[in-house]
Amino acid sequence: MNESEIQKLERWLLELEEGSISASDRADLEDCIEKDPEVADYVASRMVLVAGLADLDESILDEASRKIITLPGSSEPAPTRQWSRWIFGGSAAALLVALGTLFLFRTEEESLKLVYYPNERSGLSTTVAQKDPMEEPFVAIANRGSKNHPELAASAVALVEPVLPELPKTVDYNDHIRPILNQNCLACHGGVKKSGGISYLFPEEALAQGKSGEYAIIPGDPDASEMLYRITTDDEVDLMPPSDHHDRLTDHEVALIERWIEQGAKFSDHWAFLPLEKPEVPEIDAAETPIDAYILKGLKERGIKPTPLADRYTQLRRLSLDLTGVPPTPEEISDFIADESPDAYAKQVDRLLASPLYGERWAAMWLDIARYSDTKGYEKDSSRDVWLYRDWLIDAFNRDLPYDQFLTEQLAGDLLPNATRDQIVATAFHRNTMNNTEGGTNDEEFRVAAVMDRVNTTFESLLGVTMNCVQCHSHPYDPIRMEEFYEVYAIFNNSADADRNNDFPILKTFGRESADEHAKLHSDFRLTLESIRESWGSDPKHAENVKAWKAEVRAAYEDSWRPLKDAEVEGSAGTAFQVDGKGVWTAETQPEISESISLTLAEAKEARKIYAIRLELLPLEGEEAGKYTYADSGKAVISSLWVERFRDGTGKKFPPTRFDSNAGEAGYEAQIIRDSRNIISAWKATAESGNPWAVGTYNTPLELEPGDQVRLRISHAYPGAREEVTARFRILVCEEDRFPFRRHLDDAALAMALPELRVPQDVFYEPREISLLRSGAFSHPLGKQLLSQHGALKKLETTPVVVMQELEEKYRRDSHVFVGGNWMIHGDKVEPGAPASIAPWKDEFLPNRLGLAQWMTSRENALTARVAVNRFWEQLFGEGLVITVEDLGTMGAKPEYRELLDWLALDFKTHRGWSMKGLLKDIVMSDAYRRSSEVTPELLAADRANHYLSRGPRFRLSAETIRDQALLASGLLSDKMHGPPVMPFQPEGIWNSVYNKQQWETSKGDDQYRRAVYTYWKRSSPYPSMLAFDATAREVCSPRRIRTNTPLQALVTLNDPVYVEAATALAKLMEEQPGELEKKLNHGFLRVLSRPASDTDLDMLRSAYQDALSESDETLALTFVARILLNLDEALTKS
Amino acid sequence: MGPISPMDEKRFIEELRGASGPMRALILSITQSPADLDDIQQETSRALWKKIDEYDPAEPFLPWALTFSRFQAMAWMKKKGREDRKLRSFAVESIESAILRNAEEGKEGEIAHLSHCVSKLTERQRDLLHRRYHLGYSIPEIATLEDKKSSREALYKTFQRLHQTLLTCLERQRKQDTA
Repeated sequence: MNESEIQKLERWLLELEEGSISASDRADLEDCIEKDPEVADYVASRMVLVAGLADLDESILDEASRKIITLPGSSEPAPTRQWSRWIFGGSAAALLVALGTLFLFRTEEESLKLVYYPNERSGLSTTVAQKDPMEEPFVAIANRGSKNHPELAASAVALVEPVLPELPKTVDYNDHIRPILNQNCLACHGGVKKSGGISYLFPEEALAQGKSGEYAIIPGDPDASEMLYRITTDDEVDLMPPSDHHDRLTDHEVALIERWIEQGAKFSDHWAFLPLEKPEVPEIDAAETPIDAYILKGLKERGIKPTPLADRYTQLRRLSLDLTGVPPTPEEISDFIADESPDAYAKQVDRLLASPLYGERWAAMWLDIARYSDTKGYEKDSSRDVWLYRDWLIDAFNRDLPYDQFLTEQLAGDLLPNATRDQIVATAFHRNTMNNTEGGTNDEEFRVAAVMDRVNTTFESLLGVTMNCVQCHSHPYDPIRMEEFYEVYAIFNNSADADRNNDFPILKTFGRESADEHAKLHSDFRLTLESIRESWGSDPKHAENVKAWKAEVRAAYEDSWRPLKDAEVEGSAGTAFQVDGKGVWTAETQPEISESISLTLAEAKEARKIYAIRLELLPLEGEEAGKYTYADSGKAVISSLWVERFRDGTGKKFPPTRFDSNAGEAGYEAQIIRDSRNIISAWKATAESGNPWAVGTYNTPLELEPGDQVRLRISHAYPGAREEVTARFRILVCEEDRFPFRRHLDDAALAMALPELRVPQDVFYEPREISLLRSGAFSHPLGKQLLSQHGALKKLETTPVVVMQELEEKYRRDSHVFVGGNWMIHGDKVEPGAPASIAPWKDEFLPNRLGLAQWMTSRENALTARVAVNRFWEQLFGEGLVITVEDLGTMGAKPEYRELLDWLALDFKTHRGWSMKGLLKDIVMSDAYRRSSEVTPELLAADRANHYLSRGPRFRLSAETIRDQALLASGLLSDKMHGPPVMPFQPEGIWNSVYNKQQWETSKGDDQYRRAVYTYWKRSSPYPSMLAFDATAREVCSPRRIRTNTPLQALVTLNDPVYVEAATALAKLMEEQPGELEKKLNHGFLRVLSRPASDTDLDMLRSAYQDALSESDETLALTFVARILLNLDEALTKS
Repeated sequence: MGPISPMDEKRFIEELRGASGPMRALILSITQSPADLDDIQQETSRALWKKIDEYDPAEPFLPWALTFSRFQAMAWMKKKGREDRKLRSFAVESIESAILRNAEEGKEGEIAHLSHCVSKLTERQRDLLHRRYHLGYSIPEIATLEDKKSSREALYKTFQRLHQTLLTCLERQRKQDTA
C-alpha cells in the first residue's frame, strides 16, 4: 500500500468508528479488506493499536496526571543485552565450537586485524571480536527498516562524517547548503510537494515568490528573506521545519544559510552532473601514477602515512582474484617470483587481462546489473533462453569492447545500421525483465512494468541515479522532473515485446560450435543470392511478375468468398443474432460480458471442401468504423476461434494451418497456437486499415460429407477485455482450391503482397528472394540451390535468445505521463528525451534507444563515465570512490577523492577511448592498489574504514570467486567456456516448478565444475550456496552487492558437497606431491593461499594432520587439512 | 501425542492473557466501540471458561478464542440494534485471518511497546488520543472543542498520521526486540 492508499483507508476507518461512513465508502472498504490481504493486515494491526489505546492507562495520555507519574518501564531491551545474545546465541556459538581448529589457528595472528576492521563491512567471517555494535553505523541502519531508502543512506553518511563547526569563508551550495535542504526541507519543498508554492530543487522555483507573497530567498539580503525568518522564529506556527515532526535547524546550519544568502544565494548543479573538466594532477614526488598523486596529496593533508606495498605473493593473489576471479596457480606464482625485471608486475597485469578467465569474471559482475536470469520470474518462473547474452558479455569483456560501444549495443544493438547477429544478441540486456505468464494476468500491465524496469535499470545501474521515485512524482532530491522519467519511458515503450507467454521476439541463431560452418555457408549463400538478384534485377519482366503475383495474392485474400447465411447463431448468454442479405450477423441486444458466439452451419447437402475461413468485424449499425463492440473502447478482443466438424454426432476440431489478419494491436495479432486446438490467440482488432478481418487457411482442406455439420465458436474470455464482445460480424468461406491457400507463403511474402497485414516481423532480416522462391510462383535456375543453402543455414540457427525489436512506425505507441505512477491514468503525452540536468538532449539524437545510447555516451554526459569508473574502482577496492555506487545523485555519499574520480572518468573517456581493460590497468598499476592491507592502531584511528585509501583493499571474496577459487585450487575447475547454463550439485527438493516439469538435474561430468557464472539462475530460487554469499535473486537490477557476514557462509564452505569434493581433490594433489609431509602441506597451502606457508603455519597444519591421522588414514588426514585450508579466513578474503 | 490433559485454570489464564490483544482487536473490528471493549471482552472470557471442556488443548488457543470473540461481538451488536453498522461478514473474516496471521508472525507482543511509543508523542498528540479513545469524542466534536481551532479535515489527517506513527514505532520496537 502506498501513502495515499493508507490515508484513504485510515479515513474510512475513522469514519467507520464514528458511524459517519457513507454506504458506498463502506462497501469499498469491505471490498478492499476482502480482496487485498495487505489491507486486511493493516486493518488488523490498526485494530490492535486502537484496542491498545483504549486500554492504555489514562495517566499516560492525560497530560495533567502524566507529569507526576513515572512511565512504566520501557520495554526496549538494552542494547548490550541484545548484542550479547547475538554473539553467544544459537548457531554462532555452535559454529565457533565446530570451527575450533580454524579459529584457534588464526587467532594469534589475525585477531588483531579482526578487531581493527569492524567498520569496513568487509564481511570478515567471524564474530569473535567485535566492538560495541551501537558504534557501527550499519547496525544502526539495519534496525531501521528499508535499507534502500535515501534517508538511511544520508544518515549513514552523516555518521561517518562529522559536521565541522567553523563557518567556511565562502559558502558553497553543493558542499554546505544542499545537504541541509535535502535533509530538512525538500520533503515538503522539493519534487514531491511544493508546500507554500516553494521548492528548493530548481533555482528558478526557489527564487520565485511563494504563495504567501513573500520571497523565500532574496539574494544578498538575508534579513528580508522569508526563509531565514522561518528557520529562526520562535513563533510555533511560522517555524520551519514544522516543530511537530522535525528538529530545529542547528545554529551552524542557520548561520550557513544566512551567509549563503548574504553571498548572493548562488545555486550550482550537483557535482556529478557537471561536465568533466581536466583536473590538475597534483605534483607529488613520491607518486608513481596520477592516481597516487591524488591519494598521496589527500593523505598528506590529513597527516596520514600510507602502508608500504604488499609483498609480491599478496600482490599477485590480489591481482589474479580481481582481474580473473581465481587465484594464481603454483606455476604462475613461481614465474612471477622468479621474474626480477622491473616490469614483472606489469607483465602479470597484461597476462591476466588477456586471459579468457577475465571475461568470465567481469561478466559475472555485469549479470547483477543486467538482472540476468535463466527464468522469467513471477509465479511460474519458467525457463527462458537468454544465455547467449551471457556469452556475448564474456566475449565483449574479453575483446575489450569499448564501454561506449558496450552500452550502445546492449541498449540498441538492433538499431545500429547493418546490425550483426552479435549486436542483436547484446540487446537481450533489456529483455532480462521479468515476464508474467501466470493465468489471468494482464499482459499490458506487465509489459508496462517491464518498460519501467528498463528505465529504472538504465538509470540506477548505468547512470547512478535512482529513478523509481520519479515514476510517481518529480524526484524529491535530484533535479529530475516527472515528465523526464516518461520521456525515457517513451524511448523504451516502442519495443515489440509485450509480456506474451512465448517471450516474443526471439532471435534464433547458430551456436558457437557451428560459427565457422555458418560463416562458410553464409558466404556461399550470399554468392548465390547475389547472382539471383542480379539476373532478376536485370530482367524487366521480373518486376511485372512480382506485381502480378501480389495482385493475385490480394485477390485470393479478398475475393472468392461466400458469406455463411444458412446457419444458426447464438450467444452463450442467450443473445440473439439476426442475419441480413449480405450475411451480416448483428446482435439484437448488447451481448453479456465474456459471452461467446457459436455459429452452426446447416447440414451439408453434398460433399464440400473448405479451403479458408474469413471472419470480418463490422461496426455497430449507425456507428463509425472502429466501434465494433458496445465496450467504451469499441475494440473487439477475441480470445479464441474454434472450428469443429460434426460427423455422426461426434465433433472434431479443425484448426486452420495459418491465420492472418489485417489489424490488431502490437502483440495481439491473430495467430495460431499450434499446441492447442484453439486457433486465435487474443486478437485485439482495431480499425487501423479498414474493418478488421482475419483469414484462416488450410493446407489440407476441411472436407465435408453430406450430413456433416460445422460449428464455429468465437470466444471473448480474454482477461481485462471481457466487455469487448463482438456484436456485428460476417463469416465467409472459400471453397475453391485457389492460390495461395494451399501453398506455403511465409510471413515475409504475405507482408510483401499485403502490407496492411499484421504479421510478426522476423527479428533478423530475411532476403525477399527466399519468400518469392518459396511461394512457388517464381523460379530461377539457382533457386533450388539458394533454398537448400538457406535451409542449411536455418538448420544451424537453432539457439534461441530473447532480444529487443523496435515496432514498425505504423504501430508505434504513444507515451504519456502516468498520473501518480498509475499506468491506467494517462496524463500529458510525452516525446522521447532524457533528464536535462544530467546532459542536454540534442537534436541529432535519434528519438529511440539508439538516441538514448548517444545521449549517455555524449561528450556532455559526464555521469556515464563517472559511474563506470566508480564501479570498477569498487570492484577492486571493495568500496567505490563514491560509496553508493548506485546513487551518485545528491543523496549519494560524498566522495573523498572527487578530483581523482573525475580524472579517471575523463581519462577513461578520452585517453583510454572507453577501454575497460585500459581503465583497470591504470588502477591496478597504482601504488594505492598494491599497498599492504596491514593496519596499525594509529592508522586505524586516522583512517578507520580506509575511505582515504591509506592501505590496500581487504574484504571477503564474492560468491562466484569463492566457488571458483576452491575449484581451481583443487584442480577441479573446468576450463570449458560458454554454452547453456549448468546445474552443479544442489541439495534435493530446493525447488519445484509449478505448471511444468522443470527440475534441477545435476549436470554430468565436467559441467559440475564449471565457473559459477554458468550456473543456472532461477529467480524464485537462486542457487543457495551463492545466495549465502550475497548473490541476489536478480528480479531487478542490483547495482551493488552489500557484503554481509552470517554463520551460514561458514556452513556452506564446510559442508556444501562442492567444497567437500574440492577438499578431497586438493588432498589428492597434495598427496601426489613427492617428498616429505611438509612439501605436501606446503603445496596445498600455496594452491589455496597463493603464498608459501610460514613455519608457524606449517606447525599448525602438521598438528592438525597428526590429530586427524590418529583417527584415520593419511588420505583422510590430508583431506582434513585441505578442508581447513579452504575454510580459512585468509582463503575467503582478498588482502 | 500423549493423553490430552484438561486445561487447568492457570493455563487458561495464561492463554487468555496471550490472546487478549487479538481478541480485543477483533471485537473492535466488529463493534467499532472502544468504550465497550472491556465489557465485551469480559463476557467473552466468561463464555470461554464456561465452554472450556469443549476445547482441545492440542489445538492452538487463539483461533478458538477468536471464534468466541466474534460471536460475542456480533451478539452485542444485535442487542444494541447496531447490526446495520458492522462490516459484512466476509470482511470480518478477512480481518480475523489477518489477526491470526499477524499473531503467528509474532506481532501480538507488539502492543506491549505502546506506552513507550506513546511517550514519544507530543503533548498535543497525546491529548488528541485521550479525547478520542478515553473520552470518546468524535473528530468533528474535537474540532469544535479544540482551542486551536483545527479544521475537521486537518484533524482527520492528524489522526491518520498518528496511527501510522504509532504502528511504525510498534513495528520497529518489535524488530529491535527480536533482532
